[in-house]
Amino acid sequence: MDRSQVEEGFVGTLGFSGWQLGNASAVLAEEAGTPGVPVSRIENACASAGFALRAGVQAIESGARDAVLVAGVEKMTDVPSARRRYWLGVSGDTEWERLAGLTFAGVYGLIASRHRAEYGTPPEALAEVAVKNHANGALNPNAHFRKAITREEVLASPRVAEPLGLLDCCPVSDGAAALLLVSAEVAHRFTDAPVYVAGSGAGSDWLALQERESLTSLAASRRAAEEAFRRAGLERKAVNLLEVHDCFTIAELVALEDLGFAAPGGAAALTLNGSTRIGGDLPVNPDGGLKSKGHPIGATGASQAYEAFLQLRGAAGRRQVTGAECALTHNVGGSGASAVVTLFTRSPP
Amino acid sequence: MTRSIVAAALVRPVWEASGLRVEGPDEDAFTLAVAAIEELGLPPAELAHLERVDLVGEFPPEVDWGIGEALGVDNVAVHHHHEGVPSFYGALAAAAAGLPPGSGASVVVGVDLATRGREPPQPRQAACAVAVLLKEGPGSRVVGLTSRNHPPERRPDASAWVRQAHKAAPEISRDSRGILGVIAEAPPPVLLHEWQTTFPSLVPVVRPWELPEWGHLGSCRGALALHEHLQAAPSGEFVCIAAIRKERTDFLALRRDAEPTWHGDWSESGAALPTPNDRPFALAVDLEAVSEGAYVPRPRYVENLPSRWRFAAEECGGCGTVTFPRRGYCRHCRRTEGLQRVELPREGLTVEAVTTVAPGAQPTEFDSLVAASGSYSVALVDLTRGARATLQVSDALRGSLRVGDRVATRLRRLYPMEGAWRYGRKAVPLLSRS
Repeated sequence: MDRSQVEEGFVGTLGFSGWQLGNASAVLAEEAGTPGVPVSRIENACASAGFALRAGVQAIESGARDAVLVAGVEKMTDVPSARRRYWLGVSGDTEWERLAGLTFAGVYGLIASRHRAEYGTPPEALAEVAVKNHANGALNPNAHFRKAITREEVLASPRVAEPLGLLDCCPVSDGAAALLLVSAEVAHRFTDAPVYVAGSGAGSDWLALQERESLTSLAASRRAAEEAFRRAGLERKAVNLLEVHDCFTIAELVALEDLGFAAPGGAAALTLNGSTRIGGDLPVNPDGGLKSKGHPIGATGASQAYEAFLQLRGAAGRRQVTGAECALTHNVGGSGASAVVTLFTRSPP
Repeated sequence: MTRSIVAAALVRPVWEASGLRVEGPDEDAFTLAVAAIEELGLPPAELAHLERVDLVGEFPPEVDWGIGEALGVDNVAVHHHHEGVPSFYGALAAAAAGLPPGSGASVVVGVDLATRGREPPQPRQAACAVAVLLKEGPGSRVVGLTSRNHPPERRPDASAWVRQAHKAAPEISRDSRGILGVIAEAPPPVLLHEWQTTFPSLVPVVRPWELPEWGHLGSCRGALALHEHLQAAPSGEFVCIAAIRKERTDFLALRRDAEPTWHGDWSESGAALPTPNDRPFALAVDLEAVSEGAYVPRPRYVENLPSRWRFAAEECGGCGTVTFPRRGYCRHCRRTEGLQRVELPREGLTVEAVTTVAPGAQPTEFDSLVAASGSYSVALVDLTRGARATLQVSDALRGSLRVGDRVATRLRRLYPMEGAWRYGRKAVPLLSRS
């Protein structure tokens, strides 16, 4: 493809391993082979690329641009292991959560604690999320982990932030993903099988868990889903597969409830009965999710869109969801301060 | 009109090593002083009129302004004294006489620490803190204070000493009834004889310096003597304490018009948590730590002390919603005017969610805490009125706190940053202090 056709770029990235924090987008334009093209760096923690995609969608929907490059990138393993914890402590609430001794895992540990207290969510349901996603990741050549695991292994893994153990947590990964977003009118210039963005929605919520309305639901996700479905004019039953933000196993359960695919407290049953496996009624994270595919923070939102793209073109190989017509991606920043939902369809909306 | 002792509170850290109470890895003289004063249970209106605090022991520098900030008292005068029984008794006498009539209350706080810096603590050294409240009105009144110093080789003249004590406490006459509490390694026969001759109606009671269940204490040893004898003495009688060391004897005389109210646990019993490895915590901490990522600059930390230390929040004059922490606008109706400062409760709070952070999963600020005591829990606690706080849990067996449990909060060390400790409230299980 002739890169000079790209008119603008939006890149999601969080830390750049700590270097080049300012003007990172200029560096990225050079590396992407599009020097001179205006690029904006979008940062919403783990939702950076999802919001970069949203910015690209809005640039095209507004008529300002016809062809936009959307990308996400994160290099997390350049830091020495002594500084690995750096990544875990910079996107949450600092004043109260960090200074009470929490990093990321701890905040989700609190959510899991409350979810169990309110709904009786059993540890087996959390473990099943990890098992399913690892089984899916084993089918994904780009996944960080490509090895199946068992429920017993998850339940016996070393505890990180009760009730979450090591195998409930997504890894620290390096990765990148890029998307070419164009207006529908010119899509035929690039491919015979484009995938359409039917709608985008986004929301935010209080940074610290302590200030939110609910401890077991991310209002940002609910707001994002509501807007996306409204703009797309689609119902939930139209969706054939989901790519949700499973930074921790509990996050996938909460996501299914927030996005409206399970009643509050009902995602555990849905997971335990196999509905969310690739062959089930509502496949969730067929590419392995953040848990197994990996979570390079700034790239994840774009990699979810990449999976939607493959699935809707029938090009997902061994992890193909049969008859996929509509996909939803769900990308969350931190413990839920921001969220963005995008709906994709195989046919023009 | 001097002030009388009307109440006293004793707090002992919950951690135990080799049978003695030691302060936990997140406690120091400042936090123990605040805990002792809080144990007095003063109503907020009375606390707000506290005029003077005498501190006996070694304290970090922020205690001078920190005591007032932690208690919600403006403009309290802070005086410092060296640690030990002589200083504690001296502080009582100074505080009793130190304010003009009509002034508010004053508190004398003595803190004994088992761990000091990096040196191993003295054998059998224990931790304890006591706060004594002095007010105008009926109580136990200091009527005399004196001391005698001499080289250990030269035994003091017993009758001269008794004369000196008598001169210091002219209210006490030959007919005065009461107790002479002697703290000494061994009963001093000559001195006791001289005493009995001069004051036949003061009953001598001799006790050792180190009490079996308490270990070696400073100020608190002096306080325990007051507790024992003020309880035993009938109203209107005198309690004299003679604290005898090899080189020094201190003499304090009180008249017990009314018994003080005793707060806290003055007995030897009480559940304690064992320290890991049964050794007192000796923290090797780099105070000059610099954060590796997220960082709260000192001005921001200081600005937010009211919300951190007193759960200060804002109540909306329009819709009544409480916003915590304060943001300058109502979280419900977005109004920016008519917001009133309120303080949310610091005791009797319910746990809404809890997690236990494994070693290695903590922010780097808490590396030294984890090195000293392993993993810790963090709880989301209901502050009532729709507010919640995220608080580290202390003084609890690992993983023992459950959703629905009730907790109190205590001021504790949080983490070192750029040369000083930072402090904040932590949740402690309500049972740990019973």
